This record gives sequence, C-alpha cells and structure tokens, in this order.
Amino acid sequence: MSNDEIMPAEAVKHTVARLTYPGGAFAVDEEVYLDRPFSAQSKAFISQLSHRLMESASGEFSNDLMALGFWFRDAAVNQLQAEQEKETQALLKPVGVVFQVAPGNVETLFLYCGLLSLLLGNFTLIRVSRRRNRLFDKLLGLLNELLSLPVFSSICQRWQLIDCDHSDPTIGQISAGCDLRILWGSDATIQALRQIPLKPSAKDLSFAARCSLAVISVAAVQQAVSDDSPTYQRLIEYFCRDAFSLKQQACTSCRAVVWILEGVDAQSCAAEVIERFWVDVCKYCLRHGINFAGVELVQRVTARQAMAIVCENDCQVLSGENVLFERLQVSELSSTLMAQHAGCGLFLETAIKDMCSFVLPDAMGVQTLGYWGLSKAQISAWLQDALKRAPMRAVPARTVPLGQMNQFERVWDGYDLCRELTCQMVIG
Amino acid sequence: MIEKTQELFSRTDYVHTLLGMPVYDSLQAQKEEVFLSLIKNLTNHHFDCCDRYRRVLKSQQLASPQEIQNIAHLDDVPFVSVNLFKHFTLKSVAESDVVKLLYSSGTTSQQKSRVYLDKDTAQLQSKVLMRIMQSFVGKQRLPMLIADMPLSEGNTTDDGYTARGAGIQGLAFLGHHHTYLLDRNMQLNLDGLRAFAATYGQQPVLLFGFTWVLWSKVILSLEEKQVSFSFPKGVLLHSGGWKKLRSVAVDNPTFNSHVINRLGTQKIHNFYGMAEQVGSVYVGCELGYLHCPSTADIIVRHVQTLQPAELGEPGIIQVLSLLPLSYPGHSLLTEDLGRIIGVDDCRCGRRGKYFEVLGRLPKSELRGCSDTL
Repeated sequence: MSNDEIMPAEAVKHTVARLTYPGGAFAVDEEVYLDRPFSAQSKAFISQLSHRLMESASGEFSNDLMALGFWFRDAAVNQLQAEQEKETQALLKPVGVVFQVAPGNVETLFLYCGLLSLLLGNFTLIRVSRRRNRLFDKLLGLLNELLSLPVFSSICQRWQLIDCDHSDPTIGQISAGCDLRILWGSDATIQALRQIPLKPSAKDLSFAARCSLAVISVAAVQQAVSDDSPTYQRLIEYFCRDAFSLKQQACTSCRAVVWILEGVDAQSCAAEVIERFWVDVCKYCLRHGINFAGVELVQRVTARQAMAIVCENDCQVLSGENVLFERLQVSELSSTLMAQHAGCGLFLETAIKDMCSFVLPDAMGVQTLGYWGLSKAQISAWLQDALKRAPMRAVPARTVPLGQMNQFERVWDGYDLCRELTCQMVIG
Repeated sequence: MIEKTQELFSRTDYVHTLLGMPVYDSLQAQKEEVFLSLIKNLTNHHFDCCDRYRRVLKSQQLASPQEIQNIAHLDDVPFVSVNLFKHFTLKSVAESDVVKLLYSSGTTSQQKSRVYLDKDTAQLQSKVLMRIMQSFVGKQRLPMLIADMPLSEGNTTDDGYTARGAGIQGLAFLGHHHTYLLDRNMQLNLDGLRAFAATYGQQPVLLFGFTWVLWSKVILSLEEKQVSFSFPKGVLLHSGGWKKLRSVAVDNPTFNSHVINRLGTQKIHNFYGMAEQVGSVYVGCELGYLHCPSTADIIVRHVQTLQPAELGEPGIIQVLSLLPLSYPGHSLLTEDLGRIIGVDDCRCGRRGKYFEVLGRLPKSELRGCSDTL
C-alpha cells in the first residue's frame, strides 16, 4: 500500500505510543495484564466509553457511534454478565492473551470484539488496519481521552492497539505468544495471516468473507403499499440501512434479494410491487445522499459483467431509469455468483414460490439472512425444516428481521464470542 | 448455438477502411457516422465469436445482432470493464490463432490483464500506431533513443510482453539505430547516450520512454551527474501516466522543463493508451491536449451515474477502438478520470474530440470487512 492511501492520524500515534506489550517470550505478568471477567475497572471503562460514544453521536457517523455506545451500555453489560454467570455458575476465567487483527473498514468492529475481550479479563492486543478515515480517527480520539485518565492507567496496559504492517515481525511475535488469535478479513488476508504460527495450545478464530441477503414477502409489501402505511416506509428505511450503511461492503450487507411470491394474486401484480419497491429505495437514496461513485462504479460494472460470464442460466440487468444502483435478475442464487459480488450498489434478485421451496446453495457462506413480511415462527419453521435436509451447511447461522442485519451480536458466524473469549471450566 | 451473422464482417474490407481514414481530419459528426457503423460491426463480430462477451451483452438487453445494429448513438455502444480482462480469458479467435500475449502493467492490483492478439490485430495495431505517430514525427524513420532496457533484457514475460515491452516494440518501428538508455539493472547507459549524441545530436532524432522511467532513471540521473545533452531537432514521445510523478509533485510543465534542460528537446508529446487497446493511442498536441485519432474515440461518463458527462465535466473515461479484432476490448470502461475539453475546435487544427486525463479514479473510502490490509 502506498503512502497516499494512508491517512496518518495524530490520534493513532498517541495510542500506539502507549504500546508496551512485553513482546518476545510473552512473560505475561498476570497481575498486570490479566483481570477477572467483568471486573469493576473494565466495566467502569466500558461504561464511560459507552456514555461518551452516545454523547458524541451527532452528525456524521452518528449511527455507528450510537450503535456501538448502545451495545455497551450499562444495562447490556450487566445482562451479559448475568447470562455468563448463570451459564457458568460464576466460574469464569479469561482465555489469556487475545490478539485481534481487525478489518479495515468496518471501523467500529475492532471495538465490539476488542472491548468484549477486555471485559472478559483478557490481555487484549489489537492490530488496527492502516486504512484510516474520519470515523476511525474519531474513535481513537475518544479512546485516547479516556485512556489518558489516571484511573484507567491499568486498562492501557491490558488493552493495546498496534499500528504496524502485515509484514512486521511484531505480528509474528504476538502470534507466537497469544492464546487466541481473532482474524477478520478477506479470504486471502486470512490465509496469509494463518501462515504465521501460533503456539500449540493457542487457536485461531477467523471471520472470513461472507455474504448476506434478504427474503421479502411480496404479498406483505403489497399490503403495506396499499395501506401506504408507516410500515412500508420502515421497510424501505430498513432495507436501505441494511444494504447501504456500510456501502454494501460488510459481510452482513444485503447483497441479494429473494422475493417470496406466496399470497400474491398474479405474476404481473408481483412485478408491479417489486418495481414500486425499487423506485422507493431509489427515492430514499436520493433523499439521503446515498450514492456510489468512481472506482465503486467500475467495481460494480466489473462484478456485474463477471456474474453474467459465470452465470449458468440467463441473467438480466433490471435497472431501468435508476442509475444509483443496479439490479441483476437471476433464476437462482449460487455461490459462484455471490463470489463475484463486490458490493458497490449491486443487487442480485430472484423470486421463489414460497419460503418452503427456498434452498440456499451449499458453500454460499451466508452470514446473515434478513427477512421482512414473514413471521419469526415462519422463519423458525423454515430453519427447522431446512436442517432436516441436506445441505445443512447452507442453512444460515443468523437470521434477523430486516433493519438489523448490520447489528453486532455476541454470537457471530455461529461462534459465541463470550465463550471464545473465556476459558470453559468443568467441575467433575 | 448462435447463428453466425452472414458476412457482416469482412476483415480485409474492414482493415482497408480503417487504414484509409485520415487520422485527425474528420469533423466529429462525420467521424461518428462511420465510426458507429464500424464499431457496431466489430461488436457483432465479438458477439458471434466470444461466448463470454455474448453473455455479458445478453445480460444487458442486447440479445441479438439485430439489437446491436439498432444502436443509434455512440454513447449506447456497450462497454465492458477493463478489469474483466484481469479475471477472465476473453478472446474471439481460436487459441491457435493467437500470436502474441500482452500483459497490462497491473499497478493497482496484483492481477494483470491478459490481451490476446492474432496476426491481423497485431499488424493493425502496428500500422495504426505508425500512422498516428508519423503525423507528429514525420514519415522518415529517425535515429532513436529508447529510455528503457533492451527487450532482450526485460519487459517480457514467459509467454508474452508486458505493457512496457509492447510499447517499446511498437514504437521502435518508428526509428532506426536504436540506442537503449538503460541497462538490465535500470541504470543509465551514459556511454551509449554520449555516442548517440556524437553521431546524431544535430539531426532529427526520436526519443521514446515511459514517463516515470524517463523521469526517474534518465532525467534525474542526468541531473545527479550534472550532464546535459542537446538534441535540438529531437522529438520526445512519452506515455504511461502521471500517478507516480504526481506523488513526487512533478506536473507536465515541470517535466517538460527538465527534459528541455537535460536533453535540449523542445518537441515533447505525451500520449495516453493502454495495454488493452494498443495501437490507437491518444497523442498530446502542441497545446498539450490529447486527441482522438480516426480509429479511436472516448466518452467521458458521469462519476455517479455513468451517463455521458457534459462537455468539460470530469468523469470516468470510456475508450473505444476499432482495432481489437481478436479480443472484445473495443469498448472499455477504464479506471481513469478525464474530461473532454472540446470537439473539432482545438487550436492545433486537429478535428474531433480532445481531452485531458486527470489521473486514476481516486480510491474511495470503501467501508466493510472485505479486507484488513
């Protein structure tokens, strides 16, 4: 990566200056570097950070800051603690040294996982991406402010950000000394990082590239449209939030839409409803200044044309007059198609008779399935039914109502992070 | 099976037409009439002969040769992303007809484009390049300095040429007594340059190099050694983009003044082109504007909508070339930012569109967990 792509941030230097990790042999002094899960001090730090995040949540990035602050609010942390203690009969200890290699561009992600690790008592080292932007700087500013308070000086030792190249020997040293390494990134990045050895007792937890999609009941949309209800407006808002809030770049970003036709009178009716939906999504984008530009457009065109090349059946561009994003209609979704997806305002689209006949292709690696116009019971029934059939691997690990696709949860890609970040104890 | 279009496309006639068109003399309206008809034929040819290209067109509502023939305006000629050549083999001829393989420089990603040339395309590229360049340097072949290493030393791959290699090979046709200014280690061959200057210094000579190489390896070396030469009748052609030069704050006028200072050459022409469309290059005129030759054209597209941009408005450059017969690279959406300055009215006298390249599209602040690098 060349220099002009890195925005040097004063704030980073500041935090990195705090870096005092013991290095080399990792003679971790427990007194200094480890703590009890949910210790008063960790909770106090997280509580203050949460307050500051929510207070500062205005203007640009307010959603990201608010979501992060809200996630770590006192009530949520207390509830997490209660759950953990109940599950483990209050026998909890940290996993030890946790090394997280954070993704480049969901700026808040390193904090979700990183703060959870701190909360659970681990010595936490986070290699932050060298791709920086204003949100990242803002987060670092908040962290530095708090960490410079004398009361949190011990947090500074137990929770450190590292700013170095992927090729830096530091990565190898920390890897050799950590108990748990958490990797986020593209498949290639994760494969490359995995070549760096861990100690025999340590383990890797990796969150590789995934994709997400939404299933929407056309009949429900039709109903909502005809009522011209707030429900319909919320649908548009939720969809746009899940699709566009991270520029369609996150694993959880909605990149494909499956229309459920059950309950719609006629085929032509369905087409009308779907058209209307997209027109309103487009209007929403215009109102909220959502757009893609430059390189993003070239990436979108590349991906869409690559999909046409690899698509086994015919596919059709359906964008009409809309120029803000593109739609590609396919007869069915496949992992081959999704593998070409690069976000940037492209939606794969397909329609199926009913939820029962919906089978995700194996190996598609669905992260999240968002749903709308279908009840939780319907989704649950579908999941139970799907699990009885092969391929089980194709059943998504996470299904949430539309609007929540990008929300962070302690169970991610099927792993309970609280469990991963603590050591399970057994009393025989 | 797709039915073959009945001899819409006779290669001999096509090549003949191309080589008969005056390079810069047609008004845009006249040019477009001919150009549109030719590029539609070419589009049809690739639709017939390249299965992958046909799939792309079919997904974009161009399902038959008839629909391609119905295209009424140059703006509506379909384009493919230049990046597609990095991910897929795209060719419209049999493997056995491929005589040359070009690789793009691949500066922005590790993956390089692969461009497959058959005999006709390679020849056409070479002929058109000659015609364009001759209009700047004259028909006579000139003693030539090349600011690079000899092809025997590099710029080739196991099975083909890099973009630089292809450029050197193409341009070398314009000259004789080639002197290569760099050795295999990219060090300046000062003795060679001195000998060349002693023999040809006062007569018309041709200099060619890639902008960054010329700057960093030749001009800066000469400055370091405090050596200057004088080629008062020389013409310098250079290409390859300004990205690296901009990073060291060198713009076109600075570049030119240093060249004049060190090589004594006043006539300096920058040109724009790419490995995916070798041959029909866009050469900068005496006023510094890039001109579309008869065999190529550009469309600048709005950075958010991809609709054709207004005159003068910066946008994404789409390049159209009539030369690619062996691969469907005749209409490409690039990653370059540019703007059209005007049409038919450049003060240099050349007709058609003239434009400037404003660099690569800026890397956006993409958000998402797609990469940690």
